[in-house]
Amino acid sequence: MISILLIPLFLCFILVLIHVYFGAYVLKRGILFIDLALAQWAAFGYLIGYAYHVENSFYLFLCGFGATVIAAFILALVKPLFAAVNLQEAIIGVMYILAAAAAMAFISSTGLEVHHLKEMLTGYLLFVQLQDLLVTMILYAVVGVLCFVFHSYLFKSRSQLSEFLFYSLFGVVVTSSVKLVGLLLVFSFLVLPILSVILFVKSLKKQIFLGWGVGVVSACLGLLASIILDIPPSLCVILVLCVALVVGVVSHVVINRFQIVR
Amino acid sequence: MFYSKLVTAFIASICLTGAVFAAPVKVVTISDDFTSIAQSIGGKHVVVTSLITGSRNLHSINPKPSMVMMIKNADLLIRLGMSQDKWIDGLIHVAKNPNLFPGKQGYLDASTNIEKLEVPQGNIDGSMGDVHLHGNPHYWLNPKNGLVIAEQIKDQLILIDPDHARDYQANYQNFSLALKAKIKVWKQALKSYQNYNFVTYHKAWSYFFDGFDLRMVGELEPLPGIAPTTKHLVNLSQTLKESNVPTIVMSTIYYPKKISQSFAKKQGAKFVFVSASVGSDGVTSYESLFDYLVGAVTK
Repeated sequence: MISILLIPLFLCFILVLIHVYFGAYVLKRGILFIDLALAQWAAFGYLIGYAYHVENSFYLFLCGFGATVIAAFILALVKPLFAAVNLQEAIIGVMYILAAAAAMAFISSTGLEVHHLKEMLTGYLLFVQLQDLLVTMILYAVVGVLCFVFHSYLFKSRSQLSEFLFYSLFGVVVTSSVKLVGLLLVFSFLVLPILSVILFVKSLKKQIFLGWGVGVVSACLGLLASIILDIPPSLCVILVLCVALVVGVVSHVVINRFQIVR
Repeated sequence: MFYSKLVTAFIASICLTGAVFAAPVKVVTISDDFTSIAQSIGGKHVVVTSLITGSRNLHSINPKPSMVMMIKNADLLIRLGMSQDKWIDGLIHVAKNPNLFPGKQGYLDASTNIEKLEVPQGNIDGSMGDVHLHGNPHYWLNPKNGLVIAEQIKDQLILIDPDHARDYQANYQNFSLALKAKIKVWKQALKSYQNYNFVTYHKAWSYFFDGFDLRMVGELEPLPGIAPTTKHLVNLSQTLKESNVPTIVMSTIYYPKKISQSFAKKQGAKFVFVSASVGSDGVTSYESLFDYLVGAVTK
């Protein structure tokens, strides 16, 4: 029983490593829904690939990634206009709607089946194969090295180029992770670990390290719960991550009270 | 050399005795419809469980760890096929049960011998609209196909468990005789509905209509999976008005009720909202599924 969840567990670890890092950035900039938008663009890209009978999985990935690069380019282009009025998140929302509507319209005019689009955004943690795991590992290792090299540039610079670089790197990650495990889990790994520790630690480095800890522990507990309760694994991990957030918030409140009383 | 042969013979004899007092054949099916049929054919020699119970959209299933374990321990897997249950491929790959891979003895794609409806002809391109690459997958809704499914299950069970071949054969005979007799009854009951217009939400009932010579006029969905559009609904109600016979709007319980219901109301049509599977709404067997469906249409 445990053995069938080993590969999913390792995949969760890798996902936690990269998503918590990007999550810190996303939360810092307040552009939470960027992953939804980029994933939807990737799904649109895949769909176009399907429509033209692209079968090689690498070329399909290029279709998806190409679409996210276009989205990244547009976002970086309009950024100075809307960041000035603090409406960047609204533009990201529009980008999401645009890709979703365009994909649906594309389906209705070509007669592709809708489940192509759904499959792109659901993924199944339970079905991840060793090969998927290895490919993802290599891909994230490359992205990880790039992040490490450009870390201070990504986080400190506010230029359009750094923005474009960030969106593209993030696009590579989301394109693959959403297809593997689904939007909900990706969003959870991105946001929840950091959110549950952000009240306690202010330094970015500590946030990321603690976030990794929360993510890894939650993944283990979530998969364990999925065996015991017999609920799809990704949902269990998400619920455990939410519990982690609640625990974080409550203990923060309790600690604060305690300090005031003293 | 001699010893190794002896050992082989010994092991073989154990296997043989094992087969005589064998544990029941463990059958796993995609839904309760197939479970009901498999149970009828296997009788006391099988234990049948379903991956999904009740009337659910078989496309979109979020798989659970227990499903992998079911497949890991099964002797026979019966799936819907027609590339409509792709998640089962995932289960097969994760479970790694050597007997259950496609082409192996324990693998049965129940759609294999079915005469499929609505298979797109010729070169498929975007302009054709509705592309269900392998045709309409709701084939269990024609009771005649129940006979085909039962026969395939019988053959597969005989292959896996030849010792009880006679029982499987007899059970199949009983099942098919009973079902054939019932088919006549259902046909009689639905006869007066043959001049009605039938409209569905999703193209889920083609086999049912085909089996009972009922006339399918259209669907509320312009294309499978695309929500109804205004223009399409106007066109559809126009067609219904022109034909000047009573209409029945039929939908499966996992599709949105309100749309079909309000459409039926506007047409002054009867609204039939039913389960398409054994396991929901009090339906307990493949045979009683049709009692239930025929009852709902004629009520």
